[in-house]
Parts: sequence; C-alpha cells; structure tokens
Amino acid sequence: MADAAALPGGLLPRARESAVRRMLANRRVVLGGAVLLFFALAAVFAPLIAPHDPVEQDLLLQYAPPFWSDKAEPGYLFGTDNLGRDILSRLIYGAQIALFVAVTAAAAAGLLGTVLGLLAGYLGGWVDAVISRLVEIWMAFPAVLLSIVLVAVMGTGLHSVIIAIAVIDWTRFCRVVRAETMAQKQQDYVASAVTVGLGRMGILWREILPNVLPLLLVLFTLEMGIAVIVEAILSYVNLSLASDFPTWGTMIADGRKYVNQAPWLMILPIVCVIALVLALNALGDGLKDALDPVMRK
Amino acid sequence: MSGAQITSAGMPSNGPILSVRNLHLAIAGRHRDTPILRDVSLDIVPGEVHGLVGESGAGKTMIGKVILGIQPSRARITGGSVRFDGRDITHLPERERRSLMGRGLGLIPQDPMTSLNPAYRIGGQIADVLRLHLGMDRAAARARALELLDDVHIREPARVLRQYPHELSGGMRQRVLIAIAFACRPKLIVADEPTTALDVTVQRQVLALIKEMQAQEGASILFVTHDLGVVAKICDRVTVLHGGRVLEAGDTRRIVEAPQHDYTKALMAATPRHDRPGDLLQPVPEALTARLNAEALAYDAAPGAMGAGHG
Ligand SMILES: Nc1ncnc2c1ncn2[C@@H]1O[C@H](COP(=O)(O)OP(=O)(O)O)[C@@H](O)[C@H]1O
Ligand SMILES: [Mg+2]
Repeated sequence: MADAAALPGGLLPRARESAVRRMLANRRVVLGGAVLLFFALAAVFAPLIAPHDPVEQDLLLQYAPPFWSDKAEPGYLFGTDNLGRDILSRLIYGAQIALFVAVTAAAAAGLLGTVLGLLAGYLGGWVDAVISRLVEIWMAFPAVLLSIVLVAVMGTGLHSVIIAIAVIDWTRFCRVVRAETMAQKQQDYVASAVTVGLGRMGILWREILPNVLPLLLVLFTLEMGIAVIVEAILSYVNLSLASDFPTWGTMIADGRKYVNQAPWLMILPIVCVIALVLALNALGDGLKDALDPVMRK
Repeated sequence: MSGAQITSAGMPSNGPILSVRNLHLAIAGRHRDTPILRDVSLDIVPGEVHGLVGESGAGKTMIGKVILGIQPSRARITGGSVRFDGRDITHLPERERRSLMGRGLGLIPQDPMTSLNPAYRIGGQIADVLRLHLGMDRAAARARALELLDDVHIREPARVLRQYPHELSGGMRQRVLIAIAFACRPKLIVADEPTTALDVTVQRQVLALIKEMQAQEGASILFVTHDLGVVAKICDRVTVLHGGRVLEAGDTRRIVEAPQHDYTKALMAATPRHDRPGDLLQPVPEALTARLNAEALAYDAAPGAMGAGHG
C-alpha cells in the first residue's frame, strides 16, 4: 500500500479492472448475454424479420415440415402448423410476448420487493417485523397454484399474468435486498454519511441503494427467467392470451395435440423456452460472480 | 491518589468549544444495563488538539460517537451533558443535529478503506458535502473539491476527482476523508484512531497532514488513540481513559514527563520512546488492569462513593 501511494494519483494497478471488464471476461455472462440479445433482437424487429403474418392461416399448407425434411416448403423454414400458420413467424412473435412479460413482471416484482426490502433492512424495528412476517406468510403459499388462482380471479390476459408474477415473486427481491441493506447499513461509509449530515432517507436512497444495485441486476435477470416459465405454463393451461396469439406456451399446448403427425410443432417452442431460460439463468449467475467483489466491498 | 488531576487541568479562560460534563452512558441489555462511560468530563478549547488515550475497550470511540450523535441505539446517556458551542447536544432533534454536522462537527474515521461510498466517484462525494452545507452549485463545488484535494497534498487532484474509492490506496483515501472532514470548516473534528489502519510510513505523513490542516483551519480536534507516542507528537492536552473512567488529564508535557496515575505510567512504559530507544517495552501489568476493573465495578455499585480517579 505504501508503494501504491507513491504512484501518481495513488492508483492501484489491479483496481483499474472495471466491473464491465470483469463481466465481459465471464463466460456465462457472454454466452447468456448473447442468447438473450439474439431473442431480444428477434422480438424488437419482429415485424421486419418475420417472413409471414403469425396468425395468417393457409389451409392448403397444413403440417409443412421444417427445413431438414425433404418435403419442406420453401419460404417456411420451420414449417407450418395444423392451420397452415408459419412456425418461424409465430416463434419470433412469441419471443416478443415472452420478453415483454419477463421484463415488466420482473420490474414490477423488483420494484415492490426492493422498496419493502430496503425499508425493512434499513429501518429495522417494527417495520422490519411487519414486512418479514408478511414475506413468511406469502411464501407459505405454493406459487403456481397461487398464480392460477390469481389469473382466474383477474381474468385471462397478459396484464393478469404480469400482475400475478409480481404479486407472487416480490418476496424473492424483498428477502435478498433486506439482508443486503442490513449488511450495507453496518458499513463505515454509512456512519460517515451521517457525520456529514445526510438525513435517514437520504442515506437509504443515495448511499445504500446504489450499492444494492449490482445485486438487483442479478435478481432481475434471474426473475426474468422465472417469468418466462410462468408465462409459458399459464399460456399452456390457457390462462394467458387467447390461443390465436402466438405465445410459446400456447404453441406447446396446440402442438401437443398433433405430436404424432408433426412433433416439431411442440418441440420448437419448447426449445425456445429452454434456451431463453437457460440463457437468463447463466447470465444471472455469471453476473453474480462478476459483480461479487463490487458488492461485498 | 490522582483525583485532583482531573480538575487541575484548569478551565481555559476563553471558554471551551466542547465541554463534556459528568457523562454516564450504558448499553441497554436484556436483563440489565452495562455501564460503558462513568462520569467522564473533558473540555476542548478552540484551536486545541485534545488527545483521548487508553487501551482498546476503554470507551474512547463511544465518547466520539456521543459527540457526533451516532452512538448505537441501545446506548443510553444516563447522566451528564455534552455542550458544544455552549448548548447541550445530547438530545438534539434530528434536524438540528444534521445542521450541526459538516459546519460544526466533522469526523476523520478509523478505517479509510470502508469509509467512502464505493458507488460514487471521489469528486462527487466531496462535492455532495459542499453542496449540502454551503449550498454551492456544481461548478463551485468542483472547484473547491479540487482545492481541498490539493490542500491534502494529493497529486493530480483533477484525476483523483474522477476516480472511485477502490482505485485509491488506504493513505490516499484517508487524505480524501481528511479533505471531507475539513471541507465545511467545522469547529471540532473527532479523529478516531485515524492512522491505526495505515502502514507505518503512511501513518507519519497522515499525522503530519492532520496537524497541518488543523493549524491552517484553526479547528479543534478530539484525537482518539491508544498510542501515547502519537499523543506526544500532536496533542496539546490529554485525557487518559480506562474502563470508561477518566484517570488523569492535563497538558501533554506534564502527562508525558510526570505522569501521576499508575495507569498513565504503565501506558508510558508500554510506548516506544524516541529519546530512550533502548528501553524494553512493558505491557500494562495484569494486576493493575484487574485493580482498575475492580474499581470500576465498585464505582457502579456505589457511584460517587469513591472518586473516579481514586487509586
Ligand atoms: N454497539 C455496541 N453494543 C454493545 N457494546 C458496545 C457497542 N459499542 C461499544 N461497546 C462496548 O463499549 C465499550 C467501549 O467500546 P469503544 O468505545 O469502542 O472502546 P475503544 O474505542 O476505547 O476501544 C466496550 O466494552 C465495547 O464492548
Ligand atoms: Mg475505538
């Protein structure tokens, strides 16, 4: 340390390594991020890249097989379904719905859980007691059952799915953020902030929250993966969107009926769900490793 | 045997900036309260560097925290007062306490590695303080931050402003924290073992810097340390603390050259001396520590029955 102090600006050579560089050096971050980017681009540019209208039926072109078969139809890369709709286009629009639900549901769950977790961890006392008890009670309910009940009560539709996920999964954020806030609160920089005259809430929002953000990024990514699965399950049991909307879950449910004639109808959307969920999990885990030194310092 | 020393330090004529009077503090426990500070009194006059010396656990940090109003919530002041600039600050409402910070009181913390917020650049952390208390705008705050970094002898201050704490060494961070402590020209700074966490070579520089800044700004400092050697270097007066009790207080020269209390003598024998480098260092004898602890307990049983410094 004495040596480092002699360098201009006291710069420690190793410390130059930025958080961004550490993230990019992590294989899971790069791989997961690449797959997520692939789906994200497909979702954003769906109207431009989808070769067909995802709901347009062509009854003369039912069950066209994917490109690897010799009976494949040109222009229909992944074939068509029982109503002659283009599978590739439906998968692309499905990515749009999956990611929209993932981002909004994770954001809603994250917002609710983070605010409550910050308050519980920072204020302690009865506020913490009330919030922690609420979390315990909440987590006693089985999640999938609860989501089905919620959607049944609110009516089917994307907004119900998003609200259901947020209402169920805010506890994940709340517990972790509470624990991290309690840890950060003990740090000397918080005491220093008090001695320069910052108020209680000022310290929570301006001093502690920025140090919880890396952790939130990790939780958010993992929650997106969960949201993708939940949305798929709910559309599979027909509680999400009307079935002519091309969600992956609906495609799986539809494909199941024709699994003998046209197994790709079911396999392709399953592959998409698995690929996106694995990518989000890898990204989340990788980010956790890459950001850990920052979070713990 | 040394009860008289506590008052013999003499009240300064120009009125103390800080006056701790008969302070008692206890930590609330499940079954009973644990006394931490026992009848502590000390005065600091404007421009004075006041040493607070004693072994680990003596209650030095707790005194500093009470002055800054950041004692743990379980700590209860059970008696006495802390007057800053003439008014009791032990039970200030939060709003008034906050307005006292920065311009009235400042802190140089013990551990520079953890005392800066890892999420913000150095420049932002200094500027925040200036904007909060002096109402400076962005540009003025930045200019003043540059000036402050230059004051604490940081080379390439413009670059350090843009850096994050993890990019700086411990000595550099402590310089930044010293800059923050002095930023709003407070009247009193609590420095809690500000060099303990640093390498020996850096310690000396930081100590010199604190003394220099103090002289330049004319602030008073409560300098908390376990090292009488450091006290001899920068303090005008000293208060010796053990088990939450003041055992002896007085001018630094008098304390160092003619310590009265056995404990002060023992601390002196445990401190390396430049004038007598060959001396073997003696740890504080266990028998003395045991006697002092027994005295403290006896004091708790019958407060006031015996003088705090009674040997
Ligand atoms: N937050 C706390 N809770 C309970 N006891 C504490 C707390 N902080 C300090 N103490 C106790 O107060 C006494 C004095 O501590 P401290 O002021 O840190 O001593 P020093 O700074 O002189 O080493 C110690 O016995 C310590 O155990
Ligand atoms: Mg201490």
